[in-house]
Amino acid sequence: MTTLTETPPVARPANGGRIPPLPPTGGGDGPEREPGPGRPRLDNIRVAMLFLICGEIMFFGGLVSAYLVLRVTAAMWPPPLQPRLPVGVTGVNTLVLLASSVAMLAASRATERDDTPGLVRRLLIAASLGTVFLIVQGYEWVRLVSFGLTVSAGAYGGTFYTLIGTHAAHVIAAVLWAGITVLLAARGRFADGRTGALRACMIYWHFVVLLWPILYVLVYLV
Amino acid sequence: MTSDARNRQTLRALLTIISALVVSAFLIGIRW
Repeated sequence: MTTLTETPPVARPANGGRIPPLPPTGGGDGPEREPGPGRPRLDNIRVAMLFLICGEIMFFGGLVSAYLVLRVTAAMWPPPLQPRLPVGVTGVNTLVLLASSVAMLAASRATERDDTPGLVRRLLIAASLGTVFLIVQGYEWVRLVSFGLTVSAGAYGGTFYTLIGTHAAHVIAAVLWAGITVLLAARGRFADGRTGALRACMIYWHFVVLLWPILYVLVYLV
Repeated sequence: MTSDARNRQTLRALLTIISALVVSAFLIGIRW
């Protein structure tokens, strides 16, 4: 029979019993959103969207440069016997698009209040206004084509459809993205505070909306 | 380094690259 002469070792916590802090996630998609003093926190979602937007700005910068070079070197702009662009209707359409950005801002505030029905409603309003913008643009395009302004009608038509069409493609992408986000929000995907996908959609939406007045002034008004 | 500080550093690098590209495009445009 053996007898124990020593008591078994007791596991002692190395850090005096304190709970160690959680490792940083760094994902930017978690509910932790404590802003720093004086400036907002720059999480991964914002950086990723800034990368995308910087690429888009370079892309549109190239298109606008090409448009301006062709326009400045043209003898007459718009060329004779070419239809004039619908400034008034497109101006109202610009207000519709800007209103969609206001709805998106309201959706952002609904997220901060954890108001899921309000978020879904405002996202739907924003996506609907974006769809209205696209429908009106499409209608105006059909009219312009019927008046003889086609892509192959020269630099005037070519640059117009390229520049405005590229923006319209971005609006279509933004509406589709907003639609998917509405479905996710309706399922309660953002109720736990992980709103990264939602914020990315909102940032993209605001970019597409704010880009339009610049193009409108350059192509329609100047 | 926190993720916030790391992201700000990354953003500074991005803006530096874009500024260099914009300036060089402008200079090439003037010469052209």
